[in-house]
Amino acid sequence: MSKYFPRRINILTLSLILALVIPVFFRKPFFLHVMVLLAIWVILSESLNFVTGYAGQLALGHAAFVTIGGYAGALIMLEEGWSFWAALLIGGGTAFLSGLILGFMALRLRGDYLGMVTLGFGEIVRIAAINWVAVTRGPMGLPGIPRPEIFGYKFLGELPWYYLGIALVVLTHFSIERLLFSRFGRACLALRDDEVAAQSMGIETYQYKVLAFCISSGYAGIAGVFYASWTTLFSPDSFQLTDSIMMSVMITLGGIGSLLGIIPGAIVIGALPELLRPFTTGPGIASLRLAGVGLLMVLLLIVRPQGIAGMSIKPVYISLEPIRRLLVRKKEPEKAGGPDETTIVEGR
Amino acid sequence: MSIDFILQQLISGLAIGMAYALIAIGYSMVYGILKFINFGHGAVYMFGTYVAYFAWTAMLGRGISRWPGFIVAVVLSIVIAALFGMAMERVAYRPTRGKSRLTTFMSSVGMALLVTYGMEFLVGPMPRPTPPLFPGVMIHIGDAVITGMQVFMFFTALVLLVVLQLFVTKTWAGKRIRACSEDMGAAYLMGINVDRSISLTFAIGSGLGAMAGILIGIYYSAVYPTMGWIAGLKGFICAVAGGIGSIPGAMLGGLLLGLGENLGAGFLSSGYRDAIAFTILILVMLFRPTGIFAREQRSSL
Repeated sequence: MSKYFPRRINILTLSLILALVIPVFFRKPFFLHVMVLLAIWVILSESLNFVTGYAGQLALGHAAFVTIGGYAGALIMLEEGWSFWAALLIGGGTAFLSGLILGFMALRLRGDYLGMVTLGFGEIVRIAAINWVAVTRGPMGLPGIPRPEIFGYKFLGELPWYYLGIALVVLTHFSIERLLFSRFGRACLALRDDEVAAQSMGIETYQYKVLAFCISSGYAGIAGVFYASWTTLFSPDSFQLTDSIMMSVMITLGGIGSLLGIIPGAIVIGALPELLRPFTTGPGIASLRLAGVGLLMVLLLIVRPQGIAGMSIKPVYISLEPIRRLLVRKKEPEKAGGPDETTIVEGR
Repeated sequence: MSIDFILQQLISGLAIGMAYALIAIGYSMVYGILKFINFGHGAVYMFGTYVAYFAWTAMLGRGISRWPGFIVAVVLSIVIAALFGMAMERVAYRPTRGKSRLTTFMSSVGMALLVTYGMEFLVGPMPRPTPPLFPGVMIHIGDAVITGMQVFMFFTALVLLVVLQLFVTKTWAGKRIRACSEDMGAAYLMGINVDRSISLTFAIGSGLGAMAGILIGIYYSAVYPTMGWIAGLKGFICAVAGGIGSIPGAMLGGLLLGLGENLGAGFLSSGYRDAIAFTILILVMLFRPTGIFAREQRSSL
């Protein structure tokens, strides 16, 4: 029977199982509320990591794509009555296309110049969202964005949203992982490591950069629709410059270009204000949190610029050998027995 | 669009453009020497403005009259901002100097966050009104109005830029800075204290940034902790538009941005003022990445 028991478990699978089980024990609405926010941060950092970490292009304007995607999705739900699921695609698609436009223009630049241009684009989008009142209703934002519905089941309350968030995170991570190990992903890694060498191997570096930028923007747009439907209110200030920088801090902490490190990075930085909440009260908390993030970023870049996980894209496993030995040794003297079989199967 | 309206926008553009040029110096000189964009410059600009604001209002509150108080506040603010800029370089940028330029850039982004929001935590996010420097001084040309502050801003910035240009081209310290930006390794071999030159560059950039902050703070009669974000970005746009690393370029870039922004805001809507500035940035980056006024094509990007 022991052959059915795995020798090791992928740390991602383990955390997924844990995440699925957590609400059984902790189901306070506030806790789940924070968890949904963290899910959004994880999706956003994974999307930013795609362009900054894998393709090596610094982008500091991701909030713009969240805003564009969020508005596109919210408007199509409000004005045309489309369902949430279609709006996710519309939001992602719109963000993808705007990423294409900006990417075509900006990706001829390198490094910090690219960062500044994307940052400027982020501000342009925010200003446009504030001033284009006819469509966006300006600074007041769009209220009353509908919640998703599937086969008559409406996503209300924190618990269904928690699972929806997890589903989206899994989908994002899995698709990004597949992309990374495809021909396209390997080309991105190659051009990040040495652009000239990649070019001499026949990789059209400019096109790959633009495509990586678009894909990353598309994910950000999807996260925007998710956020809009969850809070039911979307305004130009929902995602702004500081949020773009926050995403950069998350991937810096996690390890720019790592596959796994991004998730703990996003969770730590995303949960920081909630962890600080008991110690600081009053209106200063938002400023204190941002100042703390800035300090953390500087310290991190000086002490450990590679972040938690460096640039590793290998899966990490946890050995299950001790548990396995425990279970198997117990069973051996009894030999095969019906009830034991079922317990082992359950243990898998 | 009457001619007076255009004239009015030109006047505002010239005045604010020169102040932008002062901010641009901080980016331009640091980029020239360290080849990285000091994102924290906007935060130093804000910090210097607050120092001057508190010093000046404290003195006005104790009955010291307008101008002596202003001059003391300005000197104090420039000195403190220069020290602050040097400290920032020492703490956040020097340890990352050997690593990639992006590491230093991200470190400066972190520094900007720390200083801006640390200040917001201390003084609160609400804008504070600044006392006027030239109450009621106005020159009428047709329907257009030139305020005393606009004249003061234009000429203060012009004088400072000219003095800086002379300093960089005519003195030994300036020559050392130029040598470092030409080739840091060679400058080091020639016995130049590279670290000291870099510190001096940061001090100059930060001091001028503080001066620009004071001018703009009084011009718009408001100071607030996040004023450095947009102002810093605009300073960067000027530095890039004029060709990064050059002082006359920064001035021309400032004038270009100031005029473009004010004319654009006048013809479209004032809500789009900042969007116009960023559009200028994207256009410059696309078509003349070495700067509109650059004669030689250097591979600075």
